[in-house]
Amino acid sequence: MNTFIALLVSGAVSGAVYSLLAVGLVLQQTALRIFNFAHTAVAFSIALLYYELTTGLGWPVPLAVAVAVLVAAPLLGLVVDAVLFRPLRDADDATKIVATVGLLIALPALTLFLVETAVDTFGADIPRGDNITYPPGIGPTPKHVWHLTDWLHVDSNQTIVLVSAAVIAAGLWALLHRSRLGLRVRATVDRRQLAEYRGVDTRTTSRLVVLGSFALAGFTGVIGAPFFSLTPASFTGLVAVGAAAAVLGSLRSMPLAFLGGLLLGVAQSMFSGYARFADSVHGAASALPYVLLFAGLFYLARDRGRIASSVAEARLPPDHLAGLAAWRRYAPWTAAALALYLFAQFGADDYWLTLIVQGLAFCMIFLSFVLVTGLGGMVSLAQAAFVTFAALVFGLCLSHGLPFLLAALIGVAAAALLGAVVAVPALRLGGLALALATLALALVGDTVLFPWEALSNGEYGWTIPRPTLLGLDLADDRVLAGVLLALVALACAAIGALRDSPSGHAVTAVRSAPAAATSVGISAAWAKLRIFTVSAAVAGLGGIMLATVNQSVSHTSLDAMTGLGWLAVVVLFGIRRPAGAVVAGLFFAASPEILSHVTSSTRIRDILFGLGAIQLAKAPDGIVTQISGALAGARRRAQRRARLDTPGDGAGGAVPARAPGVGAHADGSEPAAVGGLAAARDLAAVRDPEVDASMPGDPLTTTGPGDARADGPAVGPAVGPAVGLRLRGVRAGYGAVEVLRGIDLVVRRGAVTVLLGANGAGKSTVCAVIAGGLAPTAGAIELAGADVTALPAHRRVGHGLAFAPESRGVFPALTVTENLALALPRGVDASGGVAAVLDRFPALAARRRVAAGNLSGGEQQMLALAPMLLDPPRVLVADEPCLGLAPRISARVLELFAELAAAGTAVLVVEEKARHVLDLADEVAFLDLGRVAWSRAAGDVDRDTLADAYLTGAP
Amino acid sequence: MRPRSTPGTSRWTRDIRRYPLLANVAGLVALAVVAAACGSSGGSDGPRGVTDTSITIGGIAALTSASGGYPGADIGAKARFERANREGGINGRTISYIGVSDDQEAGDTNLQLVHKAVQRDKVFAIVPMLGAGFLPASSDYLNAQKVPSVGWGFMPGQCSGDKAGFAFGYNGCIQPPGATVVNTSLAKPIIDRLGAGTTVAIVSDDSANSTDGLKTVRAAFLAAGAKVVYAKANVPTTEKVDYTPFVQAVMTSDDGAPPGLVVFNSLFANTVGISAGLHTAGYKGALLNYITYSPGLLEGSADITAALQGSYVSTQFLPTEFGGDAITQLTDDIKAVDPNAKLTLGAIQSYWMADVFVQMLQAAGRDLTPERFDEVVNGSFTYQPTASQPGIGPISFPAGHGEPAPCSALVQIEGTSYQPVSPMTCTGNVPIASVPR
Repeated sequence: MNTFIALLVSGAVSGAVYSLLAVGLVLQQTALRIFNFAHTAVAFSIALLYYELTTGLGWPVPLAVAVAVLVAAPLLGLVVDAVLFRPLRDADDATKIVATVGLLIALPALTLFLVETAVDTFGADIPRGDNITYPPGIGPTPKHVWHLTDWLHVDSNQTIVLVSAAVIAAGLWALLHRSRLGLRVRATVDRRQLAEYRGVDTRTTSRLVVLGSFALAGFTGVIGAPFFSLTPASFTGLVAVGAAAAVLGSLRSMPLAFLGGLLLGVAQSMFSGYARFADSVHGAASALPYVLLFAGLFYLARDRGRIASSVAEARLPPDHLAGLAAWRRYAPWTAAALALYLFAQFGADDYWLTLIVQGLAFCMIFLSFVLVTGLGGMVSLAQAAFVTFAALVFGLCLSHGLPFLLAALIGVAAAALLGAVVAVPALRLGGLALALATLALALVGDTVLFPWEALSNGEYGWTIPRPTLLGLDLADDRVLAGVLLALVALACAAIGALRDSPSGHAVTAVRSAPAAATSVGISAAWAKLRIFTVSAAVAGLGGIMLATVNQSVSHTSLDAMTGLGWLAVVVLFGIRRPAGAVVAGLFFAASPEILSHVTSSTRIRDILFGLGAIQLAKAPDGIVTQISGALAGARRRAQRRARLDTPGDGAGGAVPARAPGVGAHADGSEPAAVGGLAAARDLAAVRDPEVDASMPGDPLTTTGPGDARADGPAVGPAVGPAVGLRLRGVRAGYGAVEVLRGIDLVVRRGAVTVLLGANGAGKSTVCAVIAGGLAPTAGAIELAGADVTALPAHRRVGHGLAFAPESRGVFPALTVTENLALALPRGVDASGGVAAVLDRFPALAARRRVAAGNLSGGEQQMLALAPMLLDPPRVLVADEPCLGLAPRISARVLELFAELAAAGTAVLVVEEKARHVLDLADEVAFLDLGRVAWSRAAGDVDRDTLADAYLTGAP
Repeated sequence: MRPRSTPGTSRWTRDIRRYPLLANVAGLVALAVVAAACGSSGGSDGPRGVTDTSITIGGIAALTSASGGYPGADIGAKARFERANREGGINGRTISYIGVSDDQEAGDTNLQLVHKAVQRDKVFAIVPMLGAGFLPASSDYLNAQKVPSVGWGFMPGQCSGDKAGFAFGYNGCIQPPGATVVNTSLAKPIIDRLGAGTTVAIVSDDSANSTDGLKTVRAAFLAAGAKVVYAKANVPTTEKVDYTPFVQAVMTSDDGAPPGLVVFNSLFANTVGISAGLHTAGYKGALLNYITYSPGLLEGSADITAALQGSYVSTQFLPTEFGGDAITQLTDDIKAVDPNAKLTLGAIQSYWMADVFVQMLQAAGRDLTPERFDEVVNGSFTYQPTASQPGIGPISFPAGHGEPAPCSALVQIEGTSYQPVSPMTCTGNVPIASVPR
């Protein structure tokens, strides 16, 4: 019993550290939709800063804590938010994972580089950042020990961790559930866009979350550092442990994640204390958290379809060469390959030759990233494990006398099998789960599987003799270079073919429009599983090539973190295309040599590669494609000049610059399942200036300002305060697809204007433009005479705008009371206001503690609109308010609108079906193909007019 | 990379004029030729790195690494080679020492530096080769290229056994493949001090490598007459926040009571962590480890110093605290290179590695080729330490590829200093199989 209690207490201390990490991870995952793999890198950097301030500069502890945790960590958060998190907000899973993994690599290296520069260049008298074991915490040094009983001892550092964890957990809970700020954060987490429509400045809210979680990470690092070495490796390893705890909390619930961390710590402690079998399985105790991470993911898979993560559709890579002939696309690469071959055969000295053959092996490994991430849209953090596993199996087979090619085949198959084993359960859970599962696999491989003597031949590994195959003596580096170059070229061609095959199309379809792909019968999981398995096999082949090049393989040659570094390098050069991976492979092998001429710092490589991955947040296509884009730009300019030189020749010329997505579609290579909307979003995301520039010349979209319809609503003399909302010549759309093509509309105060339109007319786009969810490309929006065109959504609320979006304006995860508190206009006393609304709507009062998501549709609509009655807004825009409601409830909703209009609100009701709303309307406008086709007083609208409008688009 | 028909093809002649692809290709080829011209430095006559008057030697070490590495490893070898040059060189040649490259204890970096040293810098040998980055890929390559190196003897390459490769450990091979032979001085000096029959608990890491190490250490203590009551390789090598389970197990390992001596065969962090835990739990017996002798360590961290108080440390070289002829010589040599240099673990060890290599070169004679070096050193060679005061133990090759130098020194941590306990003492190696269980 004594042992049990002692183990429990000590496990709780480790668990508390894990808990704090997990809570930080979950906070960011829920509030920012980003699983921050760099969370522990932040902890490391801040802990190192604290160490340098106290041990190095002798600052007093409270001052150092304040500067490190309350100043430096939030500042770091501000920077990371600006350069990484905010640009990534709407990115797909893969992009987010890769970018934060890049930060995980770059941040510790950058911190150490700064410390080393301070010491070496500026002569600062502080410790260099390496080899810091058991640094002092915030407690006394040496630590104080309390002997509670003969067998139970607690020291000051342990106490600090336990108390801090409890205080932070309680404080965070109170902050989130008992403060206005917490309410806003939770509203943002729940429905970001709606929160903005409710006047919440979500950018600021998100930024506060980032600052808070960075400070939390920093503090965790400072109080956790005394328990382990202050090295990047030990902290980066901790991210998997934190992730395990977070997964035990479903990656959603902070209290559960906290509990998960504690459980993990106690489980580790008990396992070490009691599990006897662990003595015979080497690495079992070390691997426990990773195994639990696996188990947690599988448990979640059983529990639920998908781990909450972004479902953003992936963008297709720009194809700057889309307009070029085949030979022009291939020629530069063929020439480069030829040049490389000639250099290897005749030019390179032994050293460069070695770098080239190694680089070619890395090319193959990196091509596996192009498959899994570039093509498949998944992030695998286990590529290094596939490389090692295949090479070890290969070596094992060779040692048993199997022929070289057969051994290689078995090695590749082994890697593919291992890939399938991880991917089958994880794929169902989405991209983040796959990344975490592969990280767990890589770490389990490092700790248990690969050191297994029978597989690895212990520390010695296997010696790989280079054979003579088909008369080619591979022992000669020059011959090997030729063979490897041919293999890499073949692999590039095969990847191109795969991309154009039905499997490739299926995966592209699944990535860019999952729902559409599923609806046409493409199985997302099956398509992705195939790509993932092939990628594991290619990585395995690369591993076999590398082992052949090095003539040796051992389980210590690579570790899991190497795989993360590779990912960053490939991303830097371009993970979407084989060419990027090939350049990355060659550069990676040569980089130590190249960089040694530039800098003596050993950190630069990590910093460079890590920052490269972060760059992905802004330019997802890597250096190679950017260069290709720059060349394409030059080409276009030259072509334009050429056309000016030779008038009349332009019509038959090459297709000029197209927006990336359009280019891809135009060449017919993308599957039909990638619908128009996906293309539109592609374009929305990639603003190519060339597109904008070319627009005015496009006859399809040209509509001069003078083109406004003469019978449109009165646009003329200012109507003063009587006008609640005015749209002037508003144009908007998604990228190159223009949806609104010059909207003019006036909504008077005290009146109800109904905007009708058929499906696809642009009704929801009008709403989004008015509410601030979509920026117009031209025109102006005025609220009560004030031009709000440039204002973000949350600031339009201050101008008296209320917006009821189509899908009910409630936060499903917040209670009725919380929804009301958030929706109440500024200046209305929260508790009094809530009480007033509940008085008026007894149905809501009865369910005040119920989460809004559990209310009926009618109750939800009431909940969304009720607060407006307390202080009627100047303008109310309701998007299909009666959709899906019973007629009786619809009538009540419409009564509310009438009541608001009577109170002076300018009400704009946007509807597809006229039946409900015509009785209510004072004005009716009809939207057709992005323009207001007509607008007139409700009395002048009869059934025939409407029928004509819907059927012909004409009044 | 996808073929595509386009209206632009008809005007390809003008495209060529405007976008001089051929010029690009020509440029690339030209680049290749230039690089070729730069790259191929004409082949030299004679063996790599050896001229009539000089021998080129480079070093590779973990000067920095996440776990601290061996700063100063560049100074020690340089100091020893410069002394050899001052004394007239070796067999009529001076040593041209090109310095130590930092592999950061990473295998891939080590391999790249090995390639560079051999192919670009054309070194005859690599001394020191210090750190865990020296993986089989590097040692296999150096064997194939016949490039000798001297390191610490804890990497597989230096434990090549019967294959007698080109990688040497200055103290032989600490942990022979298959745990066949053990250096009894790992245990004898401390057991002589504590008394035969002392109960011993051996704490070891949870890895395959440490399991072999555990067998070796256990055999040493059994051979020295100790009673081993606990020997487990189960301490995780990953992040470990608390050591209570292991402390508990050790504290009750002698029939519910603490043992007389706890021995660590584990990573630094685990050694320090469990030592601290034992102190906290009121452990009063002796502690011994093999890794915490590192000048400067005890001034660095109060917590580490507190954790290690009273610990014995067994080393494979003579700690400078003993003073005497060997230490004076070492100190003078290093001061001659850099008066401000610190006598770090890296500096001391790389000095002895160079000392071993100088004797090897002397033995190989004037007709120096890799083959001749192999014939002599892997034929029959014995390093003889300073007679008046051995700085490290004597070691013979080829036997040293499969067994350690049978010696060690002992210090004890008191306050922030290492107190000499027993100087280099050689008690011999015994086959593990011969040790009674």
